[in-house]
Amino acid sequence: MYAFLYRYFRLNLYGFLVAIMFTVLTSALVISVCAFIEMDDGFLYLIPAIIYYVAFLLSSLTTGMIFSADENKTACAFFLSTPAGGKALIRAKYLYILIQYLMVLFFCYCTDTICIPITDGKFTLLPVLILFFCLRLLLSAINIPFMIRFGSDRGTYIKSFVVTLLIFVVMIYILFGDLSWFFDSKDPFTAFLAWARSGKIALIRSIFQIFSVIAYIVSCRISVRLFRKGVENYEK
Amino acid sequence: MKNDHENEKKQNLLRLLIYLILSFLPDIISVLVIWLIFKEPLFASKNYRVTQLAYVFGILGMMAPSTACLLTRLLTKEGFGNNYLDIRIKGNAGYWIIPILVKFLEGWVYLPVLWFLFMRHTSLSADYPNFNAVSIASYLHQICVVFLCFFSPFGEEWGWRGYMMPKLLKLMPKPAAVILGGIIWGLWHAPFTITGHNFGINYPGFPYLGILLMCLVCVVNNAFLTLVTEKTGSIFPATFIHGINNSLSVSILLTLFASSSLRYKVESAGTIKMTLIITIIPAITGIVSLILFMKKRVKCVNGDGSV
Repeated sequence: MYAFLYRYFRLNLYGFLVAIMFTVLTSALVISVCAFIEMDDGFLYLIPAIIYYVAFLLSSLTTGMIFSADENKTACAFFLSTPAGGKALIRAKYLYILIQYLMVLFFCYCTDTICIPITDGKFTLLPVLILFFCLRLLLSAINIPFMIRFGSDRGTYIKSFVVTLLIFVVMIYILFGDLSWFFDSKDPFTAFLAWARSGKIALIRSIFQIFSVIAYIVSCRISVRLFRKGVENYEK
Repeated sequence: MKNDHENEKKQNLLRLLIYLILSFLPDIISVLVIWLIFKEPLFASKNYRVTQLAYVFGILGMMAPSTACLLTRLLTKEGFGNNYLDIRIKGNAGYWIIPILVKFLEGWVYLPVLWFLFMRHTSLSADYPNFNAVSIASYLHQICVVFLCFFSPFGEEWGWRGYMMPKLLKLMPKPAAVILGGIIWGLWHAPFTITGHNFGINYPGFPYLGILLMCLVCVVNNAFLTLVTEKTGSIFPATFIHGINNSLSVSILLTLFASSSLRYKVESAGTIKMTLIITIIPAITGIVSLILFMKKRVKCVNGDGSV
């Protein structure tokens, strides 16, 4: 498995470096925002939150090479013939993506820690960072088995469909759900934070985080089973 | 052959000394500089800014041992074999999962114990009224933080259990290595203990009793963590156990679930007395771990995965 992991790091070296450099850039940007803008208004927390999310998003966009490079029947036949087999190949993909996300989380975590004394203890987005990490993990858990089974192109369409579906669900909630806590308050963002921290939502959020990690592990097992069938779809 | 063995021993000793210098120095210097600037102990200051610095220092300072490990390997051209970064669970699943559960359990067992010691004239449910959605959500969230943001505990474990302990185990018998490793680990905490970490500054025998107690705590934990690391060939279980010890310990459980009166009673007992009480079960775990570790029949996995 580690040999395959090394291979992916070599194959996707530029992608990995781009992701890390971009994360360092976003960290510098967040620190600048915290240093030069008074983080008094809760609404201002959105700026670093969006910057953090973009770092995770870019990290997920730079991992395409590790799938497209293996979409070849001859190569896959060779990988299946190795002692480690297809299981190690798939696990290496999952581990590579996890390592990349963890690197982004590490830099963001250090940035968040440094921002605490800069903002006199007002600013910390650690719960949001964990949420973003788990969200990316869940999206990858849904997306990767389809990419393994049907190829990276079709897998990307399915990922787009899933994201669209999630946005659709959120929009239905916005149109028909109970948003009185938002519209009736004088400070909507603070009201949103209070709603997110309320018992039921906080519990759902915490369970979601644990669920996303479990989903990633289960997704790896599913992908291992789908790999052989997926090879049939690849071009020679 | 004897010369090769002697040379290897000298080389290990030299690497260990370099590692210890690189892991001790940054924290000693940082604590001194902060004390000179603010004229207050870092972890017992009333200055709001110093309190925040203490938090940042606690997070980032924990990464000093791993940085020292990395630098030592590079400076001495040791390479990265036996790096204890293996994540293969198959064949070692018991030693991955059971110690983590034991650490969780240690915290929970103390909830009824503390109630019995301080508040047994009231009912258990009255002293733990906060088992609601918010507290449980906070506890679950904290579990996620421990297992996902494991960077600081990793920063310590890769240095102490991933580098120092294997070197000590090559230089001396197992019990001596475990005890000495724990003492070194405890002494590494001395600059923080002197500035009020863990025990504050208002206790009898400050700071010597605090340093001694820290060494004792580190010895018992070192036995447990070394056993887990050597059995799995990986520092990741020890990392998670360390994270649980720091962030999901009995003090966090009391904050989340206990009544204010029980918390007040516990705080009034004093940091030294409370540390002694909550070290009893980890001490038992540590002694059992040392006995298991010393058993000749049981296999150990090297840091490169070989048995």
